[in-house]
Amino acid sequence: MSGDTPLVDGRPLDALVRAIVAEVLVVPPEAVRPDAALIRDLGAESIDFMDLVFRLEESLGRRIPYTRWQLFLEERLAGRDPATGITPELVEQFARRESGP
Amino acid sequence: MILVRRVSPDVRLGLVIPDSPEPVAASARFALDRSLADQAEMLAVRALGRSRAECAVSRSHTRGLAAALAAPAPMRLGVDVVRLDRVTRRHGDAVTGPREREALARYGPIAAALAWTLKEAAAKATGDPGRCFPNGLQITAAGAGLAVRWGSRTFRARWMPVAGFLCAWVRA
Repeated sequence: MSGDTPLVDGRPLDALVRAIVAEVLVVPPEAVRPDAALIRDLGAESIDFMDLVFRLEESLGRRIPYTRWQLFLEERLAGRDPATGITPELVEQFARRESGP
Repeated sequence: MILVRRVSPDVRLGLVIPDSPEPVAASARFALDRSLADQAEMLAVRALGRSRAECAVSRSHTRGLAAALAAPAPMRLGVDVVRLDRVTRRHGDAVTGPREREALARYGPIAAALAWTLKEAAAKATGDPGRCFPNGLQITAAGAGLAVRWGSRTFRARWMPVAGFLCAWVRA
C-alpha cells in the first residue's frame, strides 16, 4: 500500500492492516484493496470500526481511545462521505500514526 | 418479515428482516442494507399517515435487519440496530463510563447492546453523530427505564429485542 512501512511484530504495517480488515469484515484478503471503501465495498458497519481499533490496540500493544479514530476521520475525511472515504489505506495511515512514539 | 409499531402516539417504527437463505457477498451488503432501510422508512412514514417531507426520519441497518423511525417534523430522533451476539462487554465498556454502566447493569445480558445502540441512536438524534458519539452523550436511569443526556437536553430511550437483534431508539 505505501512504501517504507514500519514493521509490527516483524510484519509490514500494510499487511497487518489488510489482515485485520479482512478478519473483522469477514472478507477474503484479496478483497482488501488499498482503495476499497470499507463501508460501500466491504460492508463495514459502525461496530466493525470499533473492532478495527480494538485489533490495532492488540497488535500495536497500546491503548487507542476510539475518540482518536473519530478525530482522525474528521480530519482526513474533511466532509467526504464515510461510506466511500474510509479505505484500508486510510486505516493504515491511522495505524502508522498510532504506532509512533 | 416486516413489522410496523406505534411506539408512541406520534412515532412509528418500521422494521424489515429479509428472507434470504443465501449469504450476501460483502460487495453487495451495503446496497442491500440501504434498500432494506428504504423499505423500513417507507413503512414508518406511511404508518404515520404523512408525506415524507412532513416527517423527521432516522434509519439504521445491519446485516439481516433494517429499521426506520418516523415522527412529525421537526423532532430530534434516532434509531440503531445491532445483532445481539455481535456486541460484547468490551464494546459496551468502550462507549460508557462507570455511572452509565451502573444504570445499565440491571439489563444484564443486553446491557452492552443497549449501551451501543442507545449511544448510536442518540448520536444520530443530535444531528452531529461523529462529534457526539460516544462521550458527548450520557446514558442515565430514568424512572423505570433509561434516558440519554446530551448537554442540557434529554432524549427518552426505548428498545425492543427482535429476532436476535436489538432495536433501540431515542426521541426528544
